[in-house]
Amino acid sequence: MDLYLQYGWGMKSLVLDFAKEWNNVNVILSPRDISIKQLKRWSREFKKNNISCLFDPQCYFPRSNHKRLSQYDYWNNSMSTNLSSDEDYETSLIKSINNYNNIVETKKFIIPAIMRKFDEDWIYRWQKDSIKLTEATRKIVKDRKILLTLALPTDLLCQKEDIIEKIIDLTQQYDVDGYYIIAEPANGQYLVDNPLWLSNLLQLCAGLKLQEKEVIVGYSNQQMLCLSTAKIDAIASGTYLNVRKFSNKFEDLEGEIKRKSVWFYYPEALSEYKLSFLDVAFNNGVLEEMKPIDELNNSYIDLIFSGIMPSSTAFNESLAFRHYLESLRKQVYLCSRDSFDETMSAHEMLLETAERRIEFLEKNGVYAQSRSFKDIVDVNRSAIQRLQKTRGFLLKYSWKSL
Amino acid sequence: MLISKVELENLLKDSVVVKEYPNSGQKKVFLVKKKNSDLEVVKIVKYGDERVLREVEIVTQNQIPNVPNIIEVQDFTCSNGEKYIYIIEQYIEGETLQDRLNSGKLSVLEGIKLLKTLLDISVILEDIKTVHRDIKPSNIICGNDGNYYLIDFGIARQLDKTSLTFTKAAIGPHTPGYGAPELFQYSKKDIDIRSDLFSIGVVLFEALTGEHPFLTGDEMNLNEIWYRTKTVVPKDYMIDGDKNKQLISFIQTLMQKHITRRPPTAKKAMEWFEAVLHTLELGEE
Repeated sequence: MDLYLQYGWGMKSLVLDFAKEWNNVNVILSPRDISIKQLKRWSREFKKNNISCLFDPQCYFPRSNHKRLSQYDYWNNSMSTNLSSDEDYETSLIKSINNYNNIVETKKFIIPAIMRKFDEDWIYRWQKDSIKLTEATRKIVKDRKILLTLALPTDLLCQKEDIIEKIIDLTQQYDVDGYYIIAEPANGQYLVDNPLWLSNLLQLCAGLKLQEKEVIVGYSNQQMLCLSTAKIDAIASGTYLNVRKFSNKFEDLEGEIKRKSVWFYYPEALSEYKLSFLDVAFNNGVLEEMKPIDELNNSYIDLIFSGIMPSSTAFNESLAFRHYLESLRKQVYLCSRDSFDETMSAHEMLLETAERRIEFLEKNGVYAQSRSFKDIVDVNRSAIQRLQKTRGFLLKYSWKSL
Repeated sequence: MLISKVELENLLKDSVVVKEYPNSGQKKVFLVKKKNSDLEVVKIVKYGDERVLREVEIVTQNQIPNVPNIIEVQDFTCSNGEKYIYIIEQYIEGETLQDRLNSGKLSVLEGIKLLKTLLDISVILEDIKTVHRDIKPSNIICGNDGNYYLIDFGIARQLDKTSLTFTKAAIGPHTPGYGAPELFQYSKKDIDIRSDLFSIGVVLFEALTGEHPFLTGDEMNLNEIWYRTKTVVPKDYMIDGDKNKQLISFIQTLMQKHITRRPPTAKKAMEWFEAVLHTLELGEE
């Protein structure tokens, strides 16, 4: 599994900086956060720095009036209607999106999808859209791998497993190279505490991987490290929460983002802590305990462990983001092993360590509050146990070919 | 009664009826002895039954190992004027797996041999786009020659031919307790060799553990059998020599309720079965 960068507001310099430090950087560009002018200019710059780009057309909510998205010529506020009525609509949509893929020089083409509300017709409508768009894409896009977006509403992911198996079954007929999965979190949560939601997502990923398709899960955070047990190809994450979890609002967040607090990601605990709680850790003499192990450490957090009260240092949001993504990338690699059994063990160990570290810190008055993994450990544990029961054998014996 | 013993002997001329099997569905089955002492199985079915023609076609046009050969097929008119077909088949001396299991479960080595035989057959069936749909202990013969044989392709489905089941049928042909959920929920589109892999899993679980994976024997009706087949998760059973639990995991994978969770093809199942064999620690039996 690899970590892709999910492009979000103000991420350009971060992407360029990571390009200097990481061997290969893959970024999923977001027209929501980039004007067409910027897209043209930045694509050249990214290319010079060997950054591989994907272009996510972000057609999830076609009726919304997003300021930047609506500048793109494929954008159409009535797309949802067109998708089901005008036969030529798909062709013009894909042609237009392909033009942006040409500008960005992508190697993989993301077919858009609408984030439809779940109801009894969901499968029918999803299938109809997917078939039409895939056929149109195959005709137009010749020199790129094709990834079909699976936009999964939360109510779908909280259903019985049968519906997920139905989706897996239907995808067997699709002529695509892979899938770009967007999962709307249950109750809009950053870390989802509904075990069925995560288990279904994991089952879907595993089912698609077992068809030997490429699978990338967008808008991810540390909770998605468990998807390494399905040997998916990548998770994509970014800086602000609106790119670490999919938001059903999909609105302009620029103003709001500037007011957010700084959170420090402690990778062993899979949790993030506000600077004020790092101060508590400092006062209680346990701050050093929160220094990541060598394999996960990086220079972005040197200030926190410089021997003074963390909140009085210049540790800021930008450093916190870089540290988060650097740590997550390292964890992604640590979780990806040569066999299914080893990957499962690595993930079990990851969860056990997180549980112990959170407990230790809480005993010392250090709480991660809304970003604690405490209640999430069992959710992830339950999902991977279910995977072991349902597809463990298949994954174990197919692992090398996936 | 489709035909009497005497009528059959008159019809075949050089054979005497040794045994008359209990009636099964739309056919009558006899064991006959030819003048040269060879034993053969004779099946009598109504003329014009498309399923019978399909069965004959599947067996005669393909060299399927461990499936009894069809020696002769002939139509005839009975004394009451009705037309029938007789099918003469190779007789496999032995007993059905059903009878064998009544006296105890199979040894691990025997189980492995049975599993390999059934997988070998399913690899060929997959190649010829055919699903047996009725793999169960009473359709498996434990031959006196030490081999296992699969019989009765009477409800086999050829996937590239028109289905012979009424299009709107809610339940497809199968034997409850051995048929995969997609057979009794009758999702024709979903039916492929993976439905047979399910039945192979059930047969093997039963053969190696002596217990049916889903049924207790107290089921009151078909609905209960179907419900249990769809919902009961088989026990985590320890098979001798299967220290790493790979053989039982393989069998459980064959029996997954959702078709998407079973091996994708019979070839893949065979490949994995061979890999599992290397994990077994089998002593002398």
